[in-house]
Amino acid sequence: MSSTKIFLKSSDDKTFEIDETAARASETLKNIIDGGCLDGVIPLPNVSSNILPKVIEYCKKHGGDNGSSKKIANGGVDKDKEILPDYDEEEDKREKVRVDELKKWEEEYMDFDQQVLYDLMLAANYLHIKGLLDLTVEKAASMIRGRTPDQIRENFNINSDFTPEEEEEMILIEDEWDDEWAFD
Amino acid sequence: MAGRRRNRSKTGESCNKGKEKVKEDQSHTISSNNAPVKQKNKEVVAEGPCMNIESYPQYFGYEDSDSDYGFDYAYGYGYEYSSDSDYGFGFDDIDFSNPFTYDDFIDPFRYDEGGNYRGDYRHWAEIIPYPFRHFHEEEEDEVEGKDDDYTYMMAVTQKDEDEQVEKPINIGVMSKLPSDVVFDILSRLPIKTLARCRCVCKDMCLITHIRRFIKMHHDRAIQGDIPPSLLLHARYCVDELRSDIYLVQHDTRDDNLDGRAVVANPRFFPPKNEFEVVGSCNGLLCLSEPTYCGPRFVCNPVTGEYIWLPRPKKHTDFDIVSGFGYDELADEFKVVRMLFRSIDLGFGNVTPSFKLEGEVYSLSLGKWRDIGDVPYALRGKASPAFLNGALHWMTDEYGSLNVPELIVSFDLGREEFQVVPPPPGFVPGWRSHRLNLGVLGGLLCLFDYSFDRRLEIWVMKKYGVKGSWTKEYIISRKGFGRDSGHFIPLRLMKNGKLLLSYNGEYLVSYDPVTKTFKDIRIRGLPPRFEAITHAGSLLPLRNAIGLAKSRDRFNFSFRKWCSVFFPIPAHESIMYGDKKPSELSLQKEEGASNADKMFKDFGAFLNLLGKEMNTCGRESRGSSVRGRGKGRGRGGGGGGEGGSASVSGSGRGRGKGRESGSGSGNGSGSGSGSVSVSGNGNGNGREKGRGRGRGRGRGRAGGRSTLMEWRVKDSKK
Repeated sequence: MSSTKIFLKSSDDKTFEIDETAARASETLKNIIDGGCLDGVIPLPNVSSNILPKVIEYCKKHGGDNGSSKKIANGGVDKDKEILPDYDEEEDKREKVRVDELKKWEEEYMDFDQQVLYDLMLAANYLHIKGLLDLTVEKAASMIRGRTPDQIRENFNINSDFTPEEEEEMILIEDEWDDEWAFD
Repeated sequence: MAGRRRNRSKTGESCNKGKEKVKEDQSHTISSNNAPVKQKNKEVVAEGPCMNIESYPQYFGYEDSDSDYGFDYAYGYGYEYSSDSDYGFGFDDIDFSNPFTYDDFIDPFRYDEGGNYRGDYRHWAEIIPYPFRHFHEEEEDEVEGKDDDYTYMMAVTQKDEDEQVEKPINIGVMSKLPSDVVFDILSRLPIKTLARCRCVCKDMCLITHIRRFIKMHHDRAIQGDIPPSLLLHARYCVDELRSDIYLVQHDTRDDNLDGRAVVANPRFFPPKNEFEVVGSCNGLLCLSEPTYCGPRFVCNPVTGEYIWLPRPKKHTDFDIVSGFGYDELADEFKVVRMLFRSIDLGFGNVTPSFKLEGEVYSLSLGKWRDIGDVPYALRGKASPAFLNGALHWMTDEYGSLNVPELIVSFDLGREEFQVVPPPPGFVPGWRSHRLNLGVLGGLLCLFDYSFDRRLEIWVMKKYGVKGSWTKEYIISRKGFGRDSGHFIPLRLMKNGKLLLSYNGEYLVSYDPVTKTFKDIRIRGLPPRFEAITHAGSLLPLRNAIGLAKSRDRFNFSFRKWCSVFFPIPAHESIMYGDKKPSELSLQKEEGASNADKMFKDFGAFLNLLGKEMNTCGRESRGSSVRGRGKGRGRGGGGGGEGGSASVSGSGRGRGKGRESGSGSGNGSGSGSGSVSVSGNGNGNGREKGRGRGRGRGRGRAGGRSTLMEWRVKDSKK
């Protein structure tokens, strides 16, 4: 497929360029393209100009335009792996290398602060980029996993809306499940 | 009276000893904190600690065994105390007007009599259960005969759920995310973190009760996206009467299960004292009676619900092969049970002959069904490996049953047996008893124990393909240090390490790259255990097993282990107490530290004393029932007063210690080492006290009121 360029316009009126193949990583864009509504620039009123490049970067990596492989280990495309009659060890190894590379890339890619994370999540949700949504959601989940309620509140800027009485219960329950300090 | 009193003081002394044994420095906290009423009697000093030890969980454990000693013991006290005003603890001091201080908060019966949802979502008990204690004193047949006297409802009704989804969720910076995304985030968390999330804010708590969310979480859990918990089935306990199941909760960020944050808590205590684990599948656990009957009940250890399976008609004197799995297509859990039966080949035939008769129980249909004779001689000792919708057994040699195959699977959907090709070079017979099956990382594995100092693990990389068997791990005991015993692989952790149990005594992680072992230290591990990996799910049992879709009434009881956080909802016994006071009781315990363990032993001793007391208390037994219902009380003790210190309190001792009493209105929070008692709830329902560390105690008025009733009864007598 030749790489047709597609132009995306962010909420603050900045235009970005993306290959069609890359854009197909997004269900929303794919529908627009397939629907034949490709009329110059696609406006994305929900995505701002500081997030869009990030999204495009992801799409480039996962849209299949820069790698020879169409298989995406962790992306939004389902693996249509044909069922091999016999187990192929070589294939398995290559797959492993690819996954490792991808992981490394993702690690670097995901190195940003929290605000970006939410915006990215929103954008991924809006554009239906499953892989990116997975990635960001997983990061958010890892910010909760293993934290105490106080840490969670702090992380997500949540105010406890329990009454003092409830709060007391809360502390109790919390303590039950949060045993670290007890062993000092 | 004198006799009773003598007994009591005796107990008191011994308790004291016990306490000194454990930790002397904490033994005095009680009297300072726990005496709302003046104490005129010197005995009090002796009583205080006693009450505390009474509260030791192990002590209650005894109660659950058939003998009821624990109860009678407590009862003996209670009786004396309530009938002798000198020792009385002054009911006059207590405000009975508001017995349900906590009801709003922890009422697990969120539905009113009409079945309407009351709308209160703060019912921690449902999902974050606390050590379950089910004092099962009825004959089980009676249990089975009854219809669902306790039907457990959905977490949130559809209506509530819809309403909630429309409302904006207020959870800080995540508020602007669509609810789908928020659910997605939270559904990736292990149960333990979810429990914590409930304490963060109301909306977060609400989310964890929404059915759609629970289903999402369940789906993720059974797909293995969330690191599974470990269940430890304690074996050979001190008293050998009970075998608790411990839940090892962990939510460490990288799934390494190591670290001090991980604690094994005794989570529940099934109705039968002795049981074996048949298997864990998709959040449910199936347990069996070891003799004759095979699988008897299915539970969700996280929510504490369980059901009994009807007692099958067939019995055998030989082995039972059983399994538990899930048929994805039919959305149905099935229990398989196969009995070895001897065949009489006629006169003169010396060698015994067997055949294997199979039965399947579908949880959603609620019936045992014959599946005819099983053409393979399956080995029943180890739990079968469940994957790909099929249970996998090794075969074994029995009598005249010949063994042409090594691994046999039973597809739960089609209910057919199939042969699974073994790794190359493995033939049935010569060493098959040294092989075992398991599942690691979603793949079928064969554990080969035939070598002296190492364990070889074959992994079937592609299910059903013989050529895909690979010898993936060779675990040599060389680097391990300990000589004897063997490893049981439990699961493959996310970091690529293997989690193993060693000899049923330790948990070890093994790094296949560096070939090194690391001990995993977990607080409160039982001395000997069998470990089972378990995907924790919040899905109510009723939904999990699909009862709702098939019919409204079931032919078995649908029950719940009492599961609460802290002392007991005394109202539970009020509501249901009239019906079955004996059945509801519970208490919590947790985190056995060393001190706790010592206590445990001591608890056994106490129990004996309790037995003695029992003889004294017996005469008033008739009225005792009520007391038992709310039993939790008893532990913490009405300490202090008037010398008689009696009733109860309850609860739970725990490393960090907090104990709460209910029932007598005297809560006791125990400080570290579960020794010091602090806090009493008195009069106005609750009061919190702090013991050492962060102990907190609380009493509940609810219990008190029942006690009062009880007392009234007594005095009428």
